[in-house]
Formats: sequence, structure tokens, C-alpha cells
Amino acid sequence: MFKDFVKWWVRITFGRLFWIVAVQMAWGMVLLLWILAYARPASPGLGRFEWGLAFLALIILGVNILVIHFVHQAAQSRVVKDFVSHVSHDLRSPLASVKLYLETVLKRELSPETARDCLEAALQELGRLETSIEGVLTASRLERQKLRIEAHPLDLGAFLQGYLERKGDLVASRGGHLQIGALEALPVQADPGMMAKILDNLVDNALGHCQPGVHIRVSLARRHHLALMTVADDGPGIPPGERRKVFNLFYRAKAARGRGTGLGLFIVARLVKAHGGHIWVECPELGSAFQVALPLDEDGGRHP
Amino acid sequence: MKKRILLVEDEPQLAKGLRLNFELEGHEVEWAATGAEARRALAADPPDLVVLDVMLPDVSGFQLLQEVKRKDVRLPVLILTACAADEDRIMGLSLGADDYLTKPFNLDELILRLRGMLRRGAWYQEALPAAIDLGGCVLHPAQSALERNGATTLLTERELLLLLHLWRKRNQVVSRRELLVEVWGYAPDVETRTVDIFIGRLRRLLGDDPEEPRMLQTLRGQGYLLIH
Repeated sequence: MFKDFVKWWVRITFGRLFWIVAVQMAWGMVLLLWILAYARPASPGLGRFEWGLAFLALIILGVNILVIHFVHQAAQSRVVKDFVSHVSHDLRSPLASVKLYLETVLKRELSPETARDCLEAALQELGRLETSIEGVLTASRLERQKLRIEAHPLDLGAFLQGYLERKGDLVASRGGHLQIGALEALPVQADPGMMAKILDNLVDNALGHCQPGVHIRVSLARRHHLALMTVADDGPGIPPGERRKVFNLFYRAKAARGRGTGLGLFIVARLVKAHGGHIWVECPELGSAFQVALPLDEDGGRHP
Repeated sequence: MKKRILLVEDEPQLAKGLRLNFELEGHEVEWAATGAEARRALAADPPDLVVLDVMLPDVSGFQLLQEVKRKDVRLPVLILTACAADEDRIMGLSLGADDYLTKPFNLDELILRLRGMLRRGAWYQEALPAAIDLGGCVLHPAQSALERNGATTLLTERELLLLLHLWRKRNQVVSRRELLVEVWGYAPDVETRTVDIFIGRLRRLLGDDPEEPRMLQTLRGQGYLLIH
């Protein structure tokens, strides 16, 4: 009980709103004291007292705007700084591997097999680098809200069927099993390229954070006026405290520090939001299930 | 001579490539992907050199570095990391790392630095007095120990080599470039903070005032001077 209160208090006092309200209250107190101590209404009409009051109100407003502005700026610059440091780290590591392998092939006397292994490793790391760069570009476009979504009427069930058939072998080659659950034919307004990106990221996320041999199950069902798509895995799941945070920019689950770029789920969440939908994660007894809810397009696209 | 290297690196591909290269250099490599594995390896059989990444999944490399140095200050540690910021470099070197290299790195440079760090013994054979009086401090090269006000501090390999080099050329100006080549064993590159930070470490060990050093002076644009 007391612990909960302490937690709550700590969260409030470190929040931005707390300080804005605190500064306002402090100014209010100063004003009140000033009125009580010195100012007395002497004559009717806009006398010196009223002007003073208006002047003070103006000052308070100005200070408020300044405080909000600076708090906002500080938060913004922290995001930019984090972005730069994360990105440079995520790009440097695979780059270092590629460089190392190529230099090894160039400068060492290697057997043909070893040289081949080195080149393969370099290529694989280049692929990682490519994914990282792609992710950074998408995230930065989403962050600046520059990514254009071209929504068309789409049968989500048929789209998923096609996507999963194409993706199955790729997942199998990375040691996972992709299972197609129940799929309903549901009309939505969506950008097929972006939907594929959402699915790619969710599937890759499951592959990256679970043991080899993971089962990934994708299904689609109707819930009232929503199309509910589920990407579930039988991996370690996500602790309750982290289930919201995994969608934040650069957030990496504690169990996965050092793996992944912290971009994938942020991209997914933004893309889903851009489609007018919602995403959340549920953890049943085993694994985690990402739920994507998109509004159904029941007029068949007559109202764009 | 075959040396044992403990490689602490969480990126499997990079670790594989490094391992291949260290083995081609004729060393034995033990790979630890996490801090916990590294601790186990260090406790089981201390290596001759540690190559350490900073961003590990379970602990910070800096934390691990402190643990290594607390156990054996003379075990050389090379930090190999993607953290290229100046403050990280200063942090790593002032916590006792012997060298700091950022990713992506050049293979040749890494190997040169590694050889430099493993090349010990050359100065052991040199005829050195058992104790060197540095005015206020006494250095015992064979034990790599520095005695000051009755207290003894152990020096790291690099600190000892640096101090010995400055002592051999005492009362002469020694350039930063020369120190990089002679003490660290690699071509002087753009990065020069390493020497500065080690000089700072030596001043602290010698009890010299860092603001107004009297024993170990800096001559701007020329180098360093050990007054004896």
C-alpha cells in the first residue's frame, strides 16, 4: 500500500506535468500573498490594483509558456540524442563485422572454405546493416510523419493468406514454424505494402526473441466493427510492466538487451495507428500474442 | 608464444571473426557472450589478455573492467566497443583499461595493439635497478609496484612501461608520438587522448598535483617531461 503510494509519488514528481503545475501554483501563491499584504482596492474602476493584477496574470502566462517550451525542448533534444546514439551503435556493430571479415579475407592466408565462410558472414552482416538502415529511415519518416499511407479497399483475409504462403519458407529457413490460423474474409482500408511491413516486423520480432523452433501463429477474426489480427508465438512472453513500453522508440525488452534495434515494434505501432487501428500485446500462459485491431470497411470503400 | 585471450563480445558474428583472427595470430581464444560467462571464465582460469565489449546483455563492460582490475591490476584489458564518444573513452581508460578501440576498427591496428599489449618481458630482461627513486616515490619495476608514503600501489603493464620510458628519458622532453609508438606499440594516429589520460593516471599515482604538476610536466605542443 505504502509502496504503491511511493511509486505513484515518484512517477508524478518526475513527470513534466508536475513541474508545470508546481510553477503555476508557486506563482499563484506569490500573487495571493502580494494581494493580501499590499494591494487594497482603493477606488472603483480600473485602478492601479486591477492593472497590477492584469500585469501579473500576463507574467504568469508568459512564464508558463516559457516553462512548457523549455520542458518540451529538453524532451525533444533527449529523443534526438538517444536516436543518434542508438542508431550509430546499431550501424557500427554490423559494419565492424563486415569490415573485419573482408579484411581477414584480404590480408590472411585462408583455406578456400574458410574464406567462403568469411564472405558469407560478411554478406549476412551486410543484410543486418541493410535492415537497420531501412528501419532507421522508416522510423525517422514516421517520427516526422512524412510516411504516406495509401489506403485501398483490401480483403485482409485473402491478403494474409497470400502473405503467409510467401513468408512460410523464409521463416522455416530461420528455424521457425509459421502456422496459419483461422482467417476470415474481412474488408479493411489499408496500404498493402505497409501491412506487409507490419507483419514482417511482428514475425521477425518473434523469430528474434524466441528460441529456434518457435511456432508463430497468425489468425484473423471479426470483433464487432473491428478486424482483429493476432500474431502469437510460444516464446518467453513479455513481463506485464514492459507490455506497453515495447512499442516505444528504441525500447528493448530487458531480457533482450543487445538484440534487435528497438525500432521494429515502434514502426509497427505507428503504422497501425496510421491505419486508424490499435495494437497491444497479451501474454497468455505461453508466449506473447500481438493483437492488431483495424476498423472494418463495411461500405466497401464508398466513403474514402 | 601462445597466449590465452578472453574475448567478451555479445555479437556472435563479430566474435567469430575476431576469434578466427586471434587464432591465426597463434593465440588460444575463449569466448564469453555475457558478463556472467566472462566472470566464470575469469574465475576458472585467468587469461593473458581480455578483449572487452562495453554493451553486454547483462552487465556493463565498465563494471566488468573494474572487477578484472580489482582482481589483478596487471591483467591487460583492451576495450573494443561501438561507444565512440569522448566521455566513454575517458571513462574506460580512467577505470584502468590499457587500450580503447572503437568499432568499426582496422584489423591491422587491432592486431598491432594486441601484439603491443602481449609483448611483455622485453623490459624484464633489461638491466634495471631493483628500486628507482622518483623523488617522493620509489618504483620497483620487477614487482610493477609504486611505493609512496609507505603505501604500495600496483601499476598496470602500460602504466609501468610509460613510467619507465619517461624515467629512462628523464629531464628530456618526450613527445606524445614517441610514447604512442614506444609504449603502446602502434603508429601514432589521430586519437591522442590515450596518452593524456595515462599521464593523468600516473600523476595521480605519483601524488603530483594535476593542476600544477611539478614532477611530470606537460609542455604544450611538445610533449611530456619527467623531472628528476
